[in-house]
Formats: sequence, C-alpha cells, structure tokens
Amino acid sequence: MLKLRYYSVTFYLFIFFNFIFIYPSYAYLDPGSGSALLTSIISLLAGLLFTLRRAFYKMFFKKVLKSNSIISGKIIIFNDSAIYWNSYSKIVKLLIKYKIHFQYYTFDKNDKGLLIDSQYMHSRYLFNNLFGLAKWKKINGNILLTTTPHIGSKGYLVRPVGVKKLVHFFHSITDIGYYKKYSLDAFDEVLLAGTFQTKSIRSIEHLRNLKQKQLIEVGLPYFDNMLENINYYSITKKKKTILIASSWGNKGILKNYGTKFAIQLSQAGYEVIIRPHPHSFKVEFLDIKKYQKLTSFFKSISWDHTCDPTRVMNEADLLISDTSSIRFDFAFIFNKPVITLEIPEISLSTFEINDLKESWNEDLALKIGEVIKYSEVSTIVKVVSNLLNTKKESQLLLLRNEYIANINVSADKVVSYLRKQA
Amino acid sequence: MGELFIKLFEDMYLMIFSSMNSHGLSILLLSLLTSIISICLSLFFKPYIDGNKELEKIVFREIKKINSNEINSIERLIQIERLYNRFNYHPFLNFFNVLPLLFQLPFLILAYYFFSDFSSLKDQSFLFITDLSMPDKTMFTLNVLPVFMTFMSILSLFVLSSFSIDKFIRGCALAIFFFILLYQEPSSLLLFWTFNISIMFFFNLLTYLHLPINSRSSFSDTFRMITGFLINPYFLKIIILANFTFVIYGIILKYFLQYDLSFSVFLIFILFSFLLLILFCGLFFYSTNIKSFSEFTLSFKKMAIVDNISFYDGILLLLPTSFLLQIIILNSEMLGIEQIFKVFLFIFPLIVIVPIMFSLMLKFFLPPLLTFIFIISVTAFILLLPSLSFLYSWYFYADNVIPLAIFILIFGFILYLRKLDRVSLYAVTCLFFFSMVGGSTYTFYNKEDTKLKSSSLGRDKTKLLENASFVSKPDIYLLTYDAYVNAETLSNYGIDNKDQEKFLTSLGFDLYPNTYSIASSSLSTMSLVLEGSDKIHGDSFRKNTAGNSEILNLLKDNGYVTHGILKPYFFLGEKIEYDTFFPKTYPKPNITLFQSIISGAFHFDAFDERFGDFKYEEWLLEKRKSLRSKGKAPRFVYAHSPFPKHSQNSGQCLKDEVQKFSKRLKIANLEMKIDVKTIIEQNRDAIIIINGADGPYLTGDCFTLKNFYNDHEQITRLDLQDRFGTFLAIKWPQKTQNIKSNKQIITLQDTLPKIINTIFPSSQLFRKTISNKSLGILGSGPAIKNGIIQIGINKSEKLFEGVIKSVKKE
Repeated sequence: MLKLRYYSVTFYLFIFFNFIFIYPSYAYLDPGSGSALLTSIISLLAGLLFTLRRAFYKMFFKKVLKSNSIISGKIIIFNDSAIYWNSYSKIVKLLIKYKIHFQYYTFDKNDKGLLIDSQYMHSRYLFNNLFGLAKWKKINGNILLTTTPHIGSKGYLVRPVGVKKLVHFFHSITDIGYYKKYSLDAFDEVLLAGTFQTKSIRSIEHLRNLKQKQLIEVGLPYFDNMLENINYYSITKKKKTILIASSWGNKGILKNYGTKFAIQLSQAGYEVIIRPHPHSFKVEFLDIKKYQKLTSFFKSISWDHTCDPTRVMNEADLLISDTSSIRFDFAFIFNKPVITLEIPEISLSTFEINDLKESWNEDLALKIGEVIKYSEVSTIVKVVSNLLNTKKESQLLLLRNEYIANINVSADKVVSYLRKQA
Repeated sequence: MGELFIKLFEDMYLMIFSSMNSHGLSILLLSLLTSIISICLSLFFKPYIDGNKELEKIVFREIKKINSNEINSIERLIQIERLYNRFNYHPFLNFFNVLPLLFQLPFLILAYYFFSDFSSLKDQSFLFITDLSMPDKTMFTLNVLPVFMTFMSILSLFVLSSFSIDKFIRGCALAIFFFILLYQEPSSLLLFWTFNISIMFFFNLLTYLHLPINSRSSFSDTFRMITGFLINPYFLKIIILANFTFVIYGIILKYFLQYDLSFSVFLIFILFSFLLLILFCGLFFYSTNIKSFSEFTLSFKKMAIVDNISFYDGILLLLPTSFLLQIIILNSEMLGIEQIFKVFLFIFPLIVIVPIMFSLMLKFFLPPLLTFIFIISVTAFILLLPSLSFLYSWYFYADNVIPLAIFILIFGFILYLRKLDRVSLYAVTCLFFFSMVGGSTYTFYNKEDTKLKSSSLGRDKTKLLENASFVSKPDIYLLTYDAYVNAETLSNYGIDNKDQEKFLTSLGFDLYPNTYSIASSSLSTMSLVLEGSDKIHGDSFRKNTAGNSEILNLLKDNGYVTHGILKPYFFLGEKIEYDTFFPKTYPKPNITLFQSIISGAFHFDAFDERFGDFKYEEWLLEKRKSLRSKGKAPRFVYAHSPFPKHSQNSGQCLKDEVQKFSKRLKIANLEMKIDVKTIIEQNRDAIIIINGADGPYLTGDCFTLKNFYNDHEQITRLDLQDRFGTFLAIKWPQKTQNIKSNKQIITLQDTLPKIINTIFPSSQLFRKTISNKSLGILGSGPAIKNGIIQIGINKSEKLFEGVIKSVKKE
C-alpha cells in the first residue's frame, strides 16, 4: 500500500504539472489544509486501485477470496480497551491453537488482538460512535466473554440482543467492591479469580434481589500472562525507590493527597517514581500537568507515562497506592511491600463498596503492607522506612497461593469452559 | 447555483462594508468570519478526523509489514483485505481527513470569484496596497502579499503535532505551489486569504500548545531537524552552482539577446541565495547541537540522496524532451517537416549531452546524480519558459518571480521523488512525456485557425476557370499596413486619422468603412484575402502568403507577374512562389525558434526586427523600387508593411501602448502617402488596394482577452473592432468605377474576388459571395455576421456605427 501511495503521489503531481503547464489553471486551494487534500486524493486513488484490484482478483480467483470471507463464531470475545489485552491474549492463543472459531470485537484501534491474522479469529474494530454502537447491538452468539463490567447497566453499553449468555472475568486481583455500582448486574455468569470474590458478588445479588449468577473459579489469565512474561532483573542502586501509583478520578491518591507526600519522601532521600493511571492523561490532563510542575524542582522525583507498569514495578522497592489493584500485582508478582493511603469514603460513593459492609481489598491491604489513614499521612516517611526494613516475601507468596486459583493454567480453564458452553 | 452563492457572499461583504466603510477592513472582517465558521465546523468533526487518522496510521504500518513479506500478489491482497476487515477500514474512509478543507474551500472559491470580478475595489487603497483590484507590487515589481502568504504557510508547518522532515518538504512544496498559483491574483484576494491563513496558524498554534507535551514535537527538536537537513555541503554547493548557471544565462540574455535585466529573476535568485547562505551560517554557529561540519556531511550522506547515478536515470531526459516536443508541435505549422528535424536534431543532443557532460565534469564538486538532476531541471525549466510566458502573459519572464519558484519546484520534485521511490519517478516521467506530447498534439489540432482550415468549400475551381479570359489586365497593388484600422475605431482610442482618409478620397479612392476580417490575425487574414476564401484548402496559411494561393496562381496563369514584399514572418517554412520577392534572406525558422526558446518567450517582433538581417529601411527601399518599376506584363504587387503594427502579444498592455501605436501610425501614414503617390505617378489605371490586416489589439489585455474577461458575454464593440476591424480603400480604374457590386464589400476577404469578377467577368469563380461570418472569440460562435455583432454587450448592433468621435488634435 505504501508503494501504491507513492504512485498516487506521483500521479497527483503528474496531473498537477500537466494541469499548470498545458492549460490555464484556475484551481484554488488552501495551503494550510492542502496537505490534507493531497493525502485524501492519494487515499481516494489508493482506494479506487484497491477496489479495482479486488474486483479483478474476485473475477479470476473467486474461490481463494471466498475462503477468506468472515464466518461468525458462537463464541464472542469483547475487549473495550487495548490496556486489557493482557487478560485476553492467552485465551485467544489457545482458542486458535484448538482451532475454535470465535468473534473478537474491540472499541480500541490499538488493540493488539486486531493484529492477529487467523482464520479462526474473526476480529472487528468497532468505531466509537453511533455506527460502532449500531454494529455492537447486532452482535449475536451463544456466549459473550468480557472483562469489561457495566454491560447492560444504565448509561453504559447495552447488552446485544443476539447474545445468549453474558460472562465476565476479572482483570485484576479484587473483589467487586471497587467496581462501579451495578457493574455486573446484567451478567449471567462470572469467572472468578478465586473464591474470595464470591462473597461480594452474592452480597450485591442479595441486596438488589438479583438472580444468582453462576460463579466458576478459573483464576486470573492476566496474572498468568504477567508471570510468564515478566523479566526480573536487579538494579544496583544507592537509594531505595518508591513507586507511587495513583488511580484516576476521585479515588486516586494524587487527587486526594496531591504531591506533598512524594516531595517529603524525596527530601528523605528516596528515589520517587510517580505513575498516574494511563487514563489520567486523557481525563485529568491539566491536573497531571499541575502536579508535574509542582515536582519539577526535585531531581529525585520522576514521572512514568508508559502503558506497561512492569518496568517501574521491577525497579521499585515499595509501592504506595490507593484502592488500585496494582497493589496486589506488585505484592504477588514482585513480592514487595505496599502502603495503601486511605481514600475518604465520600469519594467512593459511586462504587459497589458503598453498598457492601466490608471490603476484601482493604483486609488484604493490611496483610501485604501498611494502611495509612488520611489524617496520618505526615508519618509516611517513617512508615516507609519501617516497612523497607521488614522482610515480607514468604508471607506474600503464601497469600498469593491462598487467594488466586489455577496459577499458570487459568487461560486453559477459561477455554475449557468456553468449549463446553459453545 | 454558483452565482447565487457568489451573490450571498457579495451581500455579506457589502453588509460588512456598509458598517466599516473601508474595503480593506471589510475584507479582513469577512476573512475572520469565514475562518470562525470553518474552525467551528472543524472542531465539531475533530474527534472523527483524529480517530480516522490514527486508524489510518495503524493500518498503513501493518500494510508495510505485509508488503515486506515474500508472498504472491493474491496472498498479499487477501491479507490486506483481512486487515481491512479486522480494522473495519477502507481507503475511501480517508476522505474524512479532508473535512476541514471542505468547510473552508467553498469560502475560498467564492472569494476567488468575488474578488477577481469586484469592480468596486478598483483604485481602493489599504495600508501599503495602492489598488485592491490589482496585485500589490509593493517592493519594486515584487508582490509582497503572496510572499507573506507563503511565509505563513511554512510557519504553520512548525506547529504540527508530529513534525518530520518529510512533512516539512511536502509542506514547503505545497506552499510554493500556492505561491505560483496566486501570485498574480488581486491583492484583495491575497489579503483575504493571507489573513485566513494567519488566523488558522494562530488557531493551530493554540491547539499545538494545548496538546500534552509528550504527544507533540518540541520546537527545539523541529529546529534541530531542520538545521540538520539544511546545513549540508551539497545543499550549499547546489546553490552556488545554481547562481553560476543563472549568471551565465543572464549574460546570454543581456549581452547576446539584448534584454534589459535591470530587475530580474536572476537578481532575486542571487539575493535569495545570499540570504539563505547567511541563514545557514547563522544556524551553523548558533545551534548548540552542531559540533562539526564533517558531522553533517556524514549525516547527509546517510540520507541516501546521493545515490549513484543509474542507467535508468536517463529516462529523466524525457522531461526536457517533452517540453521541446511541445514547442515543436505547437509551432510545426511554421516550421515544416524539414525544419522540425533540424530543430530536433540540434536541440535534442544538447538536452542529452549537457547533463551527462556536466555530471562528469563536476564530479569533483558534486555527486554526478545531483548535477545530472540539476542540469535536467535547468534545461526543462528553460524549455518550459515559452509556455509559461504564454500562460502567464509575461512580456519578459525575467521580470517576474514565479519562474524562480517553478524552477525550485521542478528541481525539488525530481530530487525528492528520486530519493523516495525512483521507479515512481521514472514512471511519472514517462507518463508526463506521453501526456505532454499527446496534449500538445491535441491542442495544435484544435486551435481555431486549424479548425478553419480543416473544412473546405468544396468548390472545384479548376473547372470554373476553363474557357474563361480576362477583359483587361490592370496592375494590381495590394498595400497592407499591419493593424491599420478605420478612422471610427481610431477615434475610440483618441486618435484622429480623418486627414489620412481625406487624402485617399482626394486621390479617387473608395473607402469601405464597414469592412472587417473574418479572422483576427495578420497571417490568417491575409492568407484568406489572397485565397479569396473563407476557408483554406491545403496545409498552411503561409502557403498562400508565400505566393501559392488560388488567386495568385490564376493571375500568374493569365500572364501576371507577382511580387511579394513582405515581412519574413509570412514566408517561414514555405517555398516562395512570387516571381520576385523581398527579403531574399530571412532568419531560418529553426534559428528563430531556438532564439525564442533561449529568450523564454515567443514575441510578435521576434520574427521581424530583433532577429536576423531584416531592416525596415532596406525593406522600404525595396518596396518603393517595386512600386516604381513598370514592365510589359501586368503586375500583382503584395506589400505588407510592418507598420503601424499591433501591440506586443504578451497578454498584458504596456502603460503607453496607445501612445506607441499612435507614433507607429504616423510612420504608416507617411509610408502610405508616399506609396500611393509613387504608384499613381507611374500607373494611373492600376487597381490599388490599401488595407489593414487586423486590429491594433489595444483594448483589454492587448491580446486574446482571455486575461481580461471571464467569458465572451462581456466583450464590447470596441474589443471586436480592435481585433476584427480593418481598413479598406480601393482605387478602381476609370472604366470600372461605376460597377455597383464593387461598392458592396463586407469582409476584407471579399476584396480580391470582387476585383477578379471585375477584370475577369467570364469566370464563375466568385459568383457566390463568400461567408461573412467571422471567427469566434473566447470560445464563442461567430463574433460578427453581416456586419452585425453576435456576442457580448453590443450584441445585435452594428460593428461600425459610422460615427467618428471628435478627437483633439495633437
């Protein structure tokens, strides 16, 4: 296509030269957006050439082209964002390995799933507009597996009429306490990371008088994927490194605590890496810019903008976070301690935790490190120092095995489940 | 529909003007309003456009990967189709990207039509602009607004979210393209458009500043990339070579072809180069990233712009060859087969040898490929100049800055494409070659004069001549004065020529004040006059003017001796059939053509005074000699004087065009008086025909009016008199003075048939009156029929009203 594009460029210039050199020209264009016009003309020509070429091959190689047309599968996988590809990648690989036809839909053009060219995987990018939503509504199959909550909830994606069973699986180590309210209400089944998630799901069902969902323990495919792909490496450092990972929105530590505690840690001689949730750069960009400006004078404070947190997690000796599930990834994959900064309850009113009596996450937070209350944040340097001097590695390993089921084989469990259902 | 929108635009403008009371401010406000509308619409669709661009980027990246795989074309197509399916993509979707342009474009088109034709702007000044209806010409003859427009366009490239040298080059090329396109447009349009671009620039700047720092190119990176691209030894060497080449070319023009180069494109080029050198030096010493000159030499070498020259680069020679063939084809009527070969065989080897020779000679200075492309661009540029001069109506192209921009564009285009994809360059050169040759051939066969000669009256003249004989054989003098018109037309220019007409009537001449020519050029007019026809048989107009017309052959067959004392222009490429003729030697068409190519324009005077040995004084002596001589055999003398001569045919009137014509008219009048007296003294019974061949071309653009009117509906009576109008006075012999039909001559082409009918009554040759429909103008049908105007403002009125305006005598 690039070659085709170059030909189109030259073709356009050829027309242009002919136009001005043989005939008087009265053409009139905007220099500013002329470049866009140029590109569009190229695309138009490229499109035309592609269509003609396709028509030609269709005429003479009908069978070859026909075998590559879309076939719908009974299994549907839906991923709304590229950042969750880690959860799907192993499942997709296995489905292809077992030659099971399935449909794959995504609203994110950067989704790596779209790059897989397989006769069993029938992928389609859905535009994030009315056309895409119309297409979404028309999806049909026996089972729709997704890690995206909210489907069928008011104000979110509607449940496609043609889908018989809506199934959720987790993309983090958490119960549903930190899911937005009504997230899983419309789902038929939930694939659990471990039995610890049952309690919160059943509580919500009971509270809202919902039909009981079938709960199947499969494990955490994303966690397995991380374990498989992580490159552990040791860095010789003079200073200890503290990673501050903030959620986006109201439950984020940056929003609630600002950067003062980070500066304190920096002044206490720690290397500090601040990593806002990737979504923060989209929805609260100005706030992030403000925080960056406030810390710009401190050389030992750096900011991480990458999508994949594994590098900074590997570098860090300790993590400070809020309600984010990155705490458990850090604790269970890297076996390092975590400090949780308490978020005032008022900020969590839109989450399921508001309706639940207790939070599994916060219980676990106490086991993997320390929890600092909002009013006690000034003690952070002391808490960090104490925690870094306490060895917790074996304790963390035990906790991991206790809570997460089917480590390393979770994707097989999911695929096995899907085969039965389809 | 279009007119309705233009009307709305005009109403909008007038509404603003009524409150502002200043045309300049109204233009700026109108530009601001249209920009705001465009920006609002663009913002609304921005998410769609951005999303689409991002999608396109991903898909193109994946296609590149597919193309790099070693698979057959069917498999490649299948993979691409599957990719399109996955991404829900089709190349047609990219037309989305052009949405902002689609919002902006209608306003710009409206502005173009509105400002090009808005008479209220005439003589209205604003800031440094003296006339908003004309190009600004603020610095000497240089238009400043287009320069500023180009500057703003290039500046806008610096606020791109992702800057790249590739985008920078393309953006600059586009800016130069628009500079060429709009350079000669009215300053009102440029003001509107430049302001529009400036607003868009500030809007883009704000958008750029609002972008997250990590998702946009920083100014320092952009600056470093441009510096890295510009500061390299080859770039500087090319500028030095270009200066050297243009200085040599300038010397040829100034000292060999005697052109005035007081303010020319070459001076601008040298100045421009000098500024570039200062810029380079400034960048070199200022930039903290530049450590050494050799570092940049190395980095530039890596850019693969200095590929080795390949055998296939010879295809590029087709580019200048196509321009050469275009010139030859369009002038083939003048040249003839033999001369075409001579021109081709003379210039073509130069096109081939010069680039190869210089590439080898300058090997120590520049890589051969760069020199080769540079010389090809120079030859292509020089061969293109005559077409450009015609297209832009330049009297002398070197007075204009556009050729410089075009040269940069040609050179840059070849160089860029050679680096990008040389196969494409070869392909496009071949396509260009064939299209130029085809286009020129098509243009040649479809021009008006050619159309005229392609049809035939279908009369078999030979049969009509059988058994016929002359009753008398008076000498016939056809004295043509180029672009001489009647007193009525002249009075419209403010020239009083009544005395000359009185002089002729006092000698017994009959005046024909209502005659016109059915053609509008000297050559076609006189060719038709000598043929006595409204259509020409055969291949060439010059065949008739060189003495081989039906009437001249008829006269010769009946004992007449023919004499031709003409301008060399009427002989070129034809065998001369007059019994005696002058000038005996004249510049060969191939030499004239070559000189015209070198000078960059085909001027009317190129075939007369400027080139060759022909001198007016010598010609005049020869004419008088011929008029005085008297032999035993009857004589037909056709003398075509170069005076008063119509305006130069550049398509732009000179400031003193009418005054110059008036001076030349005086010379023609004097020449005419002496001519007539000379003949009458020797030969009282001769038939003397005094005529003009076409109009003086003093109205509108002093040429075809294509630069002055949008269509033929705006043409006036004077425009038609100025082109088709002629002069005709005949002194009939005593015996034939009372023949009524002789008084009825409508078109100039009817003159000789009337005379043949008088002296040759038994012939049936001209019993049928020839058509009196003139040719069209600006694509119209016949402009004049039976002396009645058929087109324009004075449609259905007489071409000549018979009213001679009173003019104050000088």
